[in-house]
Amino acid sequence: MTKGRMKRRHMIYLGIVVVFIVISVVAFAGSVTPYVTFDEAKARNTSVQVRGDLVGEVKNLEDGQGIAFDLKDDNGTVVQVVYKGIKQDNMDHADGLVVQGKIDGDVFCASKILVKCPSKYESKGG
Amino acid sequence: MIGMMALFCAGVFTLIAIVLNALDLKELPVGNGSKSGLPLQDVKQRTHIFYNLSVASLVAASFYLWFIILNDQFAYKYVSNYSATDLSVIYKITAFWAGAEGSFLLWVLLHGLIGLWLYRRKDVLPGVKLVYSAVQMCLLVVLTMKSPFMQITGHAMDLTEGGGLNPLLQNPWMVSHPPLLFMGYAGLAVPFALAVGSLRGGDYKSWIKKALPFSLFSWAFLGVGIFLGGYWAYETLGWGGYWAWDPVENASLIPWLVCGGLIHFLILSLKRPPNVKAAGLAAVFSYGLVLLGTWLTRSGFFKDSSQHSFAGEEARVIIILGVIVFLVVAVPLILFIVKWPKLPVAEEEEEPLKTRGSMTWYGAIALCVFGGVVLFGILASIVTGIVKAPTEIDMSYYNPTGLLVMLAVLALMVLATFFAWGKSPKGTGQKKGASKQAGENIGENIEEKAEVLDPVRKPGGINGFTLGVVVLSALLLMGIGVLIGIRPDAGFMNILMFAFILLGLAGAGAVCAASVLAFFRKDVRKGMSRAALFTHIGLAVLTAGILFSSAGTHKDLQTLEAGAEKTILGRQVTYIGLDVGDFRLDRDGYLIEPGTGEVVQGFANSTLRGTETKGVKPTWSTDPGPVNMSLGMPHPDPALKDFVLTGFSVTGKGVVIGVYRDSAQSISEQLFVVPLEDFIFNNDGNMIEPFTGVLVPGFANSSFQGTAADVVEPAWSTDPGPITLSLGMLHPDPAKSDFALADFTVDEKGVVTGIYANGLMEMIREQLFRVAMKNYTNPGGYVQRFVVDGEIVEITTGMSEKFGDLHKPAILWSLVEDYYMAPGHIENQESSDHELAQGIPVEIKIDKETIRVRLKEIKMENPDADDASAYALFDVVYKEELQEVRLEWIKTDAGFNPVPVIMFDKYEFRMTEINNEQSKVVLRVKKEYELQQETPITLAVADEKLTITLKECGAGSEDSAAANTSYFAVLDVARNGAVQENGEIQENGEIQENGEVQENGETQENGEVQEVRIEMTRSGSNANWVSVPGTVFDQYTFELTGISVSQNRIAIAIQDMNEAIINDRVNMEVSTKPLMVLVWLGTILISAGIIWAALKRWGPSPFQDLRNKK
Repeated sequence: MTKGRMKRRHMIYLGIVVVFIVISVVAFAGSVTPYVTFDEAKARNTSVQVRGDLVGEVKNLEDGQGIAFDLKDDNGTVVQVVYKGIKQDNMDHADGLVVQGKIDGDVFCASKILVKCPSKYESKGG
Repeated sequence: MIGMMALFCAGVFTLIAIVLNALDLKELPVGNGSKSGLPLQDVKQRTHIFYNLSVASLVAASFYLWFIILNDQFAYKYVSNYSATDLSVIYKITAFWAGAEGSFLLWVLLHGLIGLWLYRRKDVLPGVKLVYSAVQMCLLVVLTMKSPFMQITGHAMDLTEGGGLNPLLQNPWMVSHPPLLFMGYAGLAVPFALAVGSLRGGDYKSWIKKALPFSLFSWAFLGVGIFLGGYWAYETLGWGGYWAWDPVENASLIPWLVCGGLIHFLILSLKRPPNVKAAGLAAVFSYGLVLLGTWLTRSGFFKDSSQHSFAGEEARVIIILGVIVFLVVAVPLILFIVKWPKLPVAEEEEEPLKTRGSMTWYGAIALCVFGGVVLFGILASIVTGIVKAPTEIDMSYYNPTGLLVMLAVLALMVLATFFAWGKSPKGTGQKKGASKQAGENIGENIEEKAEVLDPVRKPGGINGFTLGVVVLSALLLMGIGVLIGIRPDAGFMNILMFAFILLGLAGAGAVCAASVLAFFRKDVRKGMSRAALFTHIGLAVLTAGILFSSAGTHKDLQTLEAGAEKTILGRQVTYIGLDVGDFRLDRDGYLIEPGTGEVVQGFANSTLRGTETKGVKPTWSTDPGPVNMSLGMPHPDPALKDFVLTGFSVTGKGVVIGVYRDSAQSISEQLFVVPLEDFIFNNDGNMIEPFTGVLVPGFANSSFQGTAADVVEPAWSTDPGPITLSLGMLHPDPAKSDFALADFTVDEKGVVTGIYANGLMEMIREQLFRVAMKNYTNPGGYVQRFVVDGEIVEITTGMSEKFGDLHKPAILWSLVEDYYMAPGHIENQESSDHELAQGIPVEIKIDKETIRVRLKEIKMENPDADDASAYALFDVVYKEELQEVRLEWIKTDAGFNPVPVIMFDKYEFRMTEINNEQSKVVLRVKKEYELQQETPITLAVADEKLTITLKECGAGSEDSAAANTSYFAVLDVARNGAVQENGEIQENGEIQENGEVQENGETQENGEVQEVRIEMTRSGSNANWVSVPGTVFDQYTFELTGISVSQNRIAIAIQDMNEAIINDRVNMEVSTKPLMVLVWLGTILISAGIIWAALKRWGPSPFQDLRNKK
C-alpha cells in the first residue's frame, strides 16, 4: 500500500476519532451530576444528586401532579423534595433514596429518584 | 460444615490439577517427547482425575446448598436471608442464586462443568488447561471467603423462619436471568484460556478456530440473560423502561460488546490468516472485563450510583478480589506484550477499505469501542468518587455516544454485506464471485488495487435494484420516525441527537434491507453466513425499536377519582375503582353479604365436590401430617360405619368437606383444611398447582355441586343487572330444554357455574356469570380496575410487610405501540388542614362528602394571662343543614391546646392555628378522634353507631416496657347502643349513655362490646412510628395516631374494612412507546441468530478438524 494512501487513511481515522471524542466529552460533561448535600446544592446551579433518608410519609400533591416528601441528607439537613411523578415502589422500605435535580428556593425539585432496593443481593442485615 | 469442606476440597483438587498441568507443560514443548520420569499419558490422566475430583466437589457443595435451602435450615445465614418456610419449591430452588454468595457458587459450578468438557478434548494444550484451572482456583479462593455456608452467629436471629424471597424476584424472569448470565460469564473463560494458554508455545494460531464455538455460545447465553433482564424490568418493575445504564447493568453489557468484537475477529480468521493479536486481546479482555465488572459490582463501588445496591465488602476482601482481577488481566497482557513481535500481523490492518474483511474488522473494533465507552462511564463515577465528590453519569452520556458508535456499526454492517471479501488477482470481473477464492488470494495481493464494489457491472449481484431497496428502507424508517412524532428539542445537543436518531433509523433500515436481500440471495451475500445476517437483522430491528420507542415516547401524569374518565395520551381511560367486591366468602366457604354477614341464599352449603371417581387417592400435607382420602372409605365414627365417603370438595378457603352416604341419607362434614396457598383454582374450578398448571389428582374434574335443596331464589346485583337463578329452571338453549338447573356454585373468583341435568342424569356444566368477589387470592393486596378504550384492565398491587407495596404496571401492547400504565399509590390522606380567612367560605372535601365552612368571628382574650382563652365561630353547612360551631383553645400548663369537637358524629374539627391579627385560622378536619380517658365518644361508622371509651393508655408494649419506643391504649368499643355500666352489659331495660337515660329503654340484640388494644412502636429513636392496629368486630381497624400519657389523652383513626379505602383516587403515570415490540423482536432475532451460528459451528467439532489434520 502506498504511503500516501496510508497517510490519508490515518488522517480520516484521526478525524473520526477527534469528532467522536469531542461529542463524548460534551455528552459526558453534561451528564455529570455530583453527589452533594443540600447545603452544597443550594450553592450550585446545576443538576445535582443528594442522598438521604426518607422522613415521614410520601404525600401526593394537591393537584395530582406528583409527590412530595421530606429527605434528610448526610449532614442531617431536612429539605422537602417535590417530584413530578408517581411514588415508586419501595420508597418507604428503601435503604435510602437518591434524588437528582435542583434546589428551588426551599424545595428540591427532583427530576429523578433512585430507590435503593432493599438489596436483591444482600439482604438488609436481618 | 459439609459445604465448606466441599469447597475446600474443590480448591485443593484444583490446585493439584494446576500443578500437574504445569508439569505436563514441561513435557510438551512445541514438539513431543517426554523428559521426566513420568510417562506423558500418566501425567495427563492424573491431571484429569484431580480436575474431575475438583468439579465433583463443587457439585457436592452445590447439592448441599440446595439441601439446606430445601430443608429450611435457617441456621445458615444464606438460607435465613433468602428463603422461608412458605416459599414454594421452585423458588426455593432458585433462592440458590438469589444472593451474592450463592450466585457466585453457581458461577464457579458452571465454570467447573464447562471445564470438564474442556479437559476431555484431546488436543487442548496443557497450557490452556493450566490457565483455566488457575482461573478456577482464583474463583474458588473468592468463594471460600464469601461462602454461602456461613452460619448465623449470635442468638438474636430467628432460627425457625427465614426472611423470604423478595416477591419481586418470584417470577420466571428472575429465575432464569442469573443462570443465563453466569453461563455466559463462565463460558468466556474458555476463549480466554485458549488465547492465553497458547501464547507459551510457538503455535499462536490454532486456538482461534477452537475458540469460536465456545465464544458464540457464551455470547448467546450472556445476551439472552441481558435481554431477559431488560424484559423483566419493563414488565414488572413499573418505571417504564428496560435499560437504565445503571453501572451494574453496564458491567454485564461491556463484556458482551467486547465478546461481539471477539466473535468477529474469530470469524475473520476462519478462512484467512488468523487475527491473533486482535482476537487474543479481545479474548483476554472479554473475560477480564467480566471479572472487573463483577469485582466493581460486588465490592460496593456502585453503592451510590446504582439501583442494584450491593452492600459492599470489607476492605480486605475488596483488595484480595482486586488483586486477583488485576493478575488475571495483567499477566496475560504482559505475556502478550512479550510475544507481540512474534505474533502475525493481521492483514485487515492493511487491506483496502472497500472490502468485507476491512469493514468487519472495523465493525469489530467499533463494538469494542462501544464497550470502552460504557466502561469509561462506569469508571468515571467511581474515579470521581475517589478524587472529588462522587458523581453519577446518567444516560445523557451514554445515549449520544452509544448512538454514535451504533451509527458506525450500522454503516459498516451495510458495507460489509455488499463488499466482497477481498481482491481478485486481476482487479475486475469476479465471475467466480467471492470469498473462497478471494480469501486464498489475499496473501498474495495485498498491494493490489481492488475492484470490489461494482454496482452496475455484476449480474445478479449488487445492482440498482438492491441499492434502491436499501436506500428506500432507510428513508422509510426515517419517515416513520418523523411520522410518529420524533422531533428535536431545543438546544444544540438535542438537535444533534435528533440528527443521530434519524441517521440511526436510516442505518437500521439499510441494514435490514441489505441483510434480508443477502439472506435470500446467494449472489448478494457471497459467503456471508445466513446466521450472521439473521443476527444483523435482529440488531437493526432492535436499534429501530429502541429509537422509535424512546425518542417517540410520550408521558403523562394524571390523577383519576373513582368513576372518573379522562383521555390520556389518546385513549379513553376510566378508573372504575378498587376491587372490593360485592360478596365475600366466609371462613367456611359460604358466600355472604359483607355488610350483614348473611349467607346468600342458594349458596348455603354450596361446596366444591369431587366427582364420584373410584379409587382416587389424593394426598397432601396438612398439619398434623399427610392425609389420605379415598372414595368409599368408611366414616371414622364407628356409629356411622355404614356411611361411606362418596364425594369430597374444597371451599374457597381450603376447607375440605366430605360427603358420606349410606343407603338412605347423606352427611356433610368439614374434614380438614388444605393450605390453599399451595394450590389455585383454574377457570373451570379445578384445583391446579400454580406453577406448573398440573391438575391436582383427585380434584381433577372436581366440579361444584350443591345439595339438592328446595327451590331458592337468590338475587344479587352484577353487571349487567340483577339475575335470578332458581334450581329447576330450564336451560336457556332450546336445544337443551330437557336440562334443568340442578345446582349452582361459585368459586373464589366469583365465577358462578351452573350444573344442568336431564332425566337421563346427563350433566352439563357451564359458567354462567361472574359475581364480584373480594380479592382472596391476594389478601395482602388490591386490584385497581380501569377501562381503557372499552377494555377492562386490572392493575394488581401486592402488599407485603417485609417488602412494602409492589406495583405491577399494566402494559397494553400492540404492534403499533405499547400503552404503559404505572399506577401510583392509593391516596387515603387528603390534606386535612384548611386555612380560613374571616368571612370567606371554604369548601372542604372529605370522605366523598363536602362540608362548607366560613369563619365568622375570632377572639382571643388575655393571651398572656393565666386564664387566656381563644375561640372562633364558624358557620358550617353539611348535608344542606347550617350549623354554628364554636371551636376553642384552652391554655394549659403545656401551652395552648385546641379543643376538638366531633361533628356529625363523624369528623373531628379542631383549630391548629389561630392568628388574631390577620383574622385567620387553620382548621383541621379529619376522621381522627381524640379520646379522653373514661369519656366515651359516639361515632357513626358505616351504618352503625360505635361508642368508644378509652380505658387505659401508657408507654410500653407487650414486648418491652421501653418508653420512647412504644405506646399503647386499651379501648372499649360498643356497637348498636350497648353500653357498659358498672362493668356489665345491660340486657334489657334502660341504657345509659353519657350520663343520660334514653327513653326507648331497649337494648338491641346485636349489641356487643369488644375490648381492643392498639399500639404504636418504632424500632429506634430515629425510626418512623409504626402503628399496630387492632381489629374490632371483624370489621373496623382502630389505629393509635397520637397519645399524651400525662394528659390521659389519645387520638385514634378508624377504618371500615369493608369500605377498605376511603378516598379512591389513583395517581398514574402513563406513557406510550411506539413500536416497542420491535425491541423484543430484535432481541429474539439476535439471540436466535447467535444460537444458530453457534450450533452451526458446533456441528463438526472444530477440535476434530485439527485432530484429522494431525
